[in-house]
Amino acid sequence: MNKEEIKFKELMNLLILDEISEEDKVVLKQHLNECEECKNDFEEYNKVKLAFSSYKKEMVTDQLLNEARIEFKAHLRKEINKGFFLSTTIEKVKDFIVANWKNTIGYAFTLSIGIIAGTFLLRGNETTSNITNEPLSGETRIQDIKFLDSDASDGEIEFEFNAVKPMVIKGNVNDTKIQNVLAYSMINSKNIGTRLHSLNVLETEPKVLDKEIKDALLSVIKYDNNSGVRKEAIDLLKGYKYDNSIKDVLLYVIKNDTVSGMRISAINILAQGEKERTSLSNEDINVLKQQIEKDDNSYVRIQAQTVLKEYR
Amino acid sequence: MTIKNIDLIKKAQKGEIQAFDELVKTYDRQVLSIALKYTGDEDDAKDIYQDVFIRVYKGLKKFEFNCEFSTWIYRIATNVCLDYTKRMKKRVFVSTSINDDEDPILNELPVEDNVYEKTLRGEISQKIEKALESLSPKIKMSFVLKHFEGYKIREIADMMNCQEGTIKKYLFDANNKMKILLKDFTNY
Repeated sequence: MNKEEIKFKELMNLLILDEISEEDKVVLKQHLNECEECKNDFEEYNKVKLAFSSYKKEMVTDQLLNEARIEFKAHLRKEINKGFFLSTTIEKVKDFIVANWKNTIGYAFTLSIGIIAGTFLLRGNETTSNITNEPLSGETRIQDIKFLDSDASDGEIEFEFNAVKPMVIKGNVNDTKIQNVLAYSMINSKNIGTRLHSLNVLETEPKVLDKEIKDALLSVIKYDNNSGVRKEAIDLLKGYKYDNSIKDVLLYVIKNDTVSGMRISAINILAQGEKERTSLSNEDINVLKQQIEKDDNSYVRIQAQTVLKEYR
Repeated sequence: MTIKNIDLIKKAQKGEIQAFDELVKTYDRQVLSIALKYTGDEDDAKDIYQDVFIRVYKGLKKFEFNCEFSTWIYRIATNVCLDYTKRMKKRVFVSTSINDDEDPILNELPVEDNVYEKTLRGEISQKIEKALESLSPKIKMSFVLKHFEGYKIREIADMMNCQEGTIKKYLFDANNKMKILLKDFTNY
């Protein structure tokens, strides 16, 4: 086959695949009008394409998808129980030490200097307190039982449940462990009162400025389904240094939150924050412009205009 | 990638099961569709689905946002499908058919793929399926992604982690082979 034949064969294939450019399409069609052999060849390709279009492909049904999801959940639980993350962390540490032994020695040396210095410098200023963890009466409770397979005709059934052991933890609110529990409780507790309590703790202890807590706050502001909790969280933002992560969340609220009180709080914090620094990108400006046009609350519209005016 | 998706991925990377669950639900129908169209069998497609999302779960922390998350997942899906083909070839099948004069090739297929169970799907479908089975795994995967899932060559190249030129070659080879194989059967 000469170069030109190869070229036209390629163009024919691209046409069948709907990947041909308009220019090449014109060139090919012109050639097909002139060359009988290529025209016949193209007819054969076209028959194949028509055959595919009439072929009944297997489609994913909802039932099949649900079966796959249920099986996967059971599979995933087994993986989680294997302590997968712990074993890969150990592997990663091993790999890191072997591959980067020079860096590892350097880090170890720096860390030991830091520990020694910290011990001397911080001896008189302990803010951490004794954490006491006590299990309550020692009873493990079963909760949230769900059947994965309730059909006993094959002699087996399968269900999943949560095995819960009550614990008590007591300590200083600035302690990392306490803050982890607070952050978790803020996002994951099903009880609205508990989530509010977690936020109220921060209100009474404003010096808690941990990143974990801040990230949890931002997540609550965006995703909590209770507007009271979101409002409590956004009011706490004033205790934090204004930065891009806060700005992004405020813009998200302005654009998406259906509660006007939330949008008002967000635009007020944004206006105050932007007075001190100009950090609005083109995308941010567009969000504000949209709110000027379509927000149903007049205060939000006016404030958005003010922010943009001061920014310019 | 949307802000919401990025947030979800980051939460899932930190170990939040609910976030991971939501991610799975965003992409799993498409993964199952690729698996089903590649294997033609529901049970095999479900097996591939499990494999894919376990790999996603295990590898999620390594995802560094240097490509679309969907590309990353579908890349895993195509690799699992290709691995599945290798595993299938190692299996030994026992025919359960009572017909002694069957085509010996059919005896090597799992019972579920026996063409006699598929007569209702039409003659063209049978021909296409048999022709598909004759393609090499990577060519077949490119073919499925192009003709049955509607992806562009550039997207398929991303998913199969190779050059666009390679995918073009696979697809041209598939077209050419299909042209010959389907011509050999009764005219349609």
